[in-house]
Amino acid sequence: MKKWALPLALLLFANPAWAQQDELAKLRTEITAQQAVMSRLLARIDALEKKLSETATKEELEDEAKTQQDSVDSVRQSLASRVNISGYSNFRYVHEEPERPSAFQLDHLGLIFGKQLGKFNFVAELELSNVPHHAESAEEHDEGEEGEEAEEHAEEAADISGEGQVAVENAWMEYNHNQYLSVRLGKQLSPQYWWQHRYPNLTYSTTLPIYLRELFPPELIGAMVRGQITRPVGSSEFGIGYSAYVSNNNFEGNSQADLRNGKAVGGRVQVRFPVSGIFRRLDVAADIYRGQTAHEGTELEEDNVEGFEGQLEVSRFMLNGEYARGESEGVKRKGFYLQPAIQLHPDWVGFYRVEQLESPRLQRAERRHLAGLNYRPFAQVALKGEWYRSLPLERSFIEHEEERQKFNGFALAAVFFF
Amino acid sequence: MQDAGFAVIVNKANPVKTLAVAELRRIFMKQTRMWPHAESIVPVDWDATSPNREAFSRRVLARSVREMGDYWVQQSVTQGLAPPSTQRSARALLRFIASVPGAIGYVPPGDVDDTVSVVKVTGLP
Repeated sequence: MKKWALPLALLLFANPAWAQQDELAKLRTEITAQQAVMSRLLARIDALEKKLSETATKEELEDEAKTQQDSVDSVRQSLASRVNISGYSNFRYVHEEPERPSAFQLDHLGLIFGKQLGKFNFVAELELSNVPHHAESAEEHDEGEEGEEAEEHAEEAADISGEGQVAVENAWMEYNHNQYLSVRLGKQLSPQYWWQHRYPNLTYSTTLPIYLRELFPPELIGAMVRGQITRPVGSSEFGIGYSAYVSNNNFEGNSQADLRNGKAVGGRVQVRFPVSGIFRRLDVAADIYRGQTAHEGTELEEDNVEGFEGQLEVSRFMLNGEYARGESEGVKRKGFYLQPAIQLHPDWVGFYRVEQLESPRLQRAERRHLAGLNYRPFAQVALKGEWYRSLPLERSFIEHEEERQKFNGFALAAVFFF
Repeated sequence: MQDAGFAVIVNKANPVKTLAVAELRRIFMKQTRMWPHAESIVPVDWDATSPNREAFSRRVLARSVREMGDYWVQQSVTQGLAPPSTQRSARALLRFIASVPGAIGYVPPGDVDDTVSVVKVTGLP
């Protein structure tokens, strides 16, 4: 081979340096592309693995869903069959100067059973009380009777033995057609505000306003229709509610029979005004009752009662008031209470109440001032304390000097709702 | 409704699409007990300690959870009514509502899924 042949061959067949760089660049590009493909493949594998994993847990999820479904069905079934049982206990200590002895009282122990089935609702309440069931009516006897009979009733009123008595306070069935119309049959509370909210776990005071039992009957045995019409106003609503009832007349034993043809009738109209901002509630209502009542003995007397009431809540302030007047056989009687209260703290409420009763038939004319505190660490627990002062009113119908005495008292109560 | 921080949800079979806030309040206070299509209303609430419940209670019911406790004590003794049943999670609440035809509840908007229907609420303060 000639000497020039080798360089020539190298020149012709070997790549120069720039050509090798091109080759390297191509290789790099190819490797990068391959890496991208591999990345995509790896991502695909990851996705497939994830999908595979999801497929694996899907069965578990189905099992869990079934378990939860069973749980929901169980809750649903138990909701449908459940009887709602609740109740309250009210333990009270009362001390009055100068005549009455101080006493501990298991004032009320109530059991409430409620059940709702579609449009039907049933409620029964049993109450054990170791004070006279109608304490004020026992006083009525004291004041209206003389001799041995009066002494017997006085002994009953002073009974603090704890033996007490059991009473059916409520037993009614309601058909709730819609918000405009429901019908309630049975023994039920009268529709006035205090009677509807008279439970010790709902009231701030340990005692009822003195006038209450002397005017509207506390409860009725009969039929009541009620309903309400509401219209949204902003975020609040305007509402008009009504109730009308026919019942046995108001006398002891009326749950068994009322042999008179003329039954008692009554009605109520309530207006709920729309509220906003610091105004939280403004309700007013008017009530009327026409019936017969037993005051002394078994003779029934015509009895007409009218009243009005209001509830106002502004920020932490609450104001409740009721007024009623009645007339029976030409004898008039009247009474009221006014109760401002303030939420001092989420757990503390302070209240004041002024109340008055003027009743010739009871020989009683009294104004009472109460002031007290409630400690409510839970919605279900209330510890109450109050002081009160009773002032007799000078009225010509007061015949007995003992009805003209002032007295003070204080009471403590522990209430538990369950 | 979604800007309120919660979405009101009902069972998919429920034809109701809109509720005024006053009506929603009446439902959760058990003052309205039947849907217009004659199904019993079953309100379901969050556990009492839930921030969702506190927010809903103040915004819709205009009462704190504590004040609503007082309300339910009153309703128990005077009407024999129990407060709405409660759930502790959005998932449990969704499942309950998806299973019970008359049920209504509320969850954070992000938790809504296609097993329930969202109801528009008007008149929120």
